[in-house]
Amino acid sequence: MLIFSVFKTLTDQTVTVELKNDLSITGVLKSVDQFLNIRLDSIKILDEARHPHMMAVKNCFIRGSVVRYVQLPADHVDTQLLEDATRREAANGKR
Amino acid sequence: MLPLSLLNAAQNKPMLVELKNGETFNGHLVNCDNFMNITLREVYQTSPEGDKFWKLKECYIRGSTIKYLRVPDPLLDIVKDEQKAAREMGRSVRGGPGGNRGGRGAPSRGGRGAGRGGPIRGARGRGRGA
Amino acid sequence: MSALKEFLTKKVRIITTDARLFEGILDGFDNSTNVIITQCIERLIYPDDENQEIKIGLYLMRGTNIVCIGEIDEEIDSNIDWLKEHGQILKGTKNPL
Repeated sequence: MLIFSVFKTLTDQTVTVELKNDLSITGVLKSVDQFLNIRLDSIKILDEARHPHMMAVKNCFIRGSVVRYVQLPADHVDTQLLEDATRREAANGKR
Repeated sequence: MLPLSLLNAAQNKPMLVELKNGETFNGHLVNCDNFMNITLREVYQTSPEGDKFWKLKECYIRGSTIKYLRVPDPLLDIVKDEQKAAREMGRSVRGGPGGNRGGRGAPSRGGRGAGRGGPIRGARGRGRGA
Repeated sequence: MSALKEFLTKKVRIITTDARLFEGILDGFDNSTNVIITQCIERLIYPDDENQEIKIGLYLMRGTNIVCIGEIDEEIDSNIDWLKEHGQILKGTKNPL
């Protein structure tokens, strides 16, 4: 749930999503849901010449289960806050 | 429309089911549930390579093993019409909602559309056909 | 989860976990990303072999099989000759054993 919240704070930021099929998609994060499904707008496929499959696609929905990494804009992530929240959530889970 | 309502409406219709392991099953839908578990009758099963075939009288497929289902084209319009009819029925029934809601009119099944769109032929193997 | 709502009745392109490519109109979906695709075609794109386009009609695809669903900009798409757009074969999302 925490990561879900983190993603929500990053809406309208540009992120790069690396999928488990090695495809990397950069785009503007439009929305996330509880499954970490991701909606990206104005997408760009890394190395489109080799992977023309998503040509003519601007907006796309990515299933959370096939995401390997999401590269976040570092300056929009407050790591200190994240650590604290993580500890809080971990403590809550123990109780 | 929900994928599962489409599936529900596909009872007695021919369909092709491909499993995650590439096996395909061609048959008529007998029943299904909300997990997408299905039973088919008069089934032709094809191996993932497309080189072996089996004929089964009836078979049960666990929903979680399914990759996709291919259903007859006209089915979508049939379901849309039925849903529309059901909605109008619900509206005309006195007493407002709760009357006949969600019911797609069970008896209507098999009437219209029965026998349309023959069995889906050509269980295509993966990649390019020989 | 209603993120897919904006794509309803639009032309979409779907990459699946088994590295295939489908195109059609999104006519329905549910919480598990199961989708109904009408006028569905499968595109086979090869590095240098002849591409293929196979008509497959009405499709119900299970969410677990789906990687991504992209809304097609039809204006851009109409200027693309898909039989001439070659590219690498996609990979599946499953780890090779």
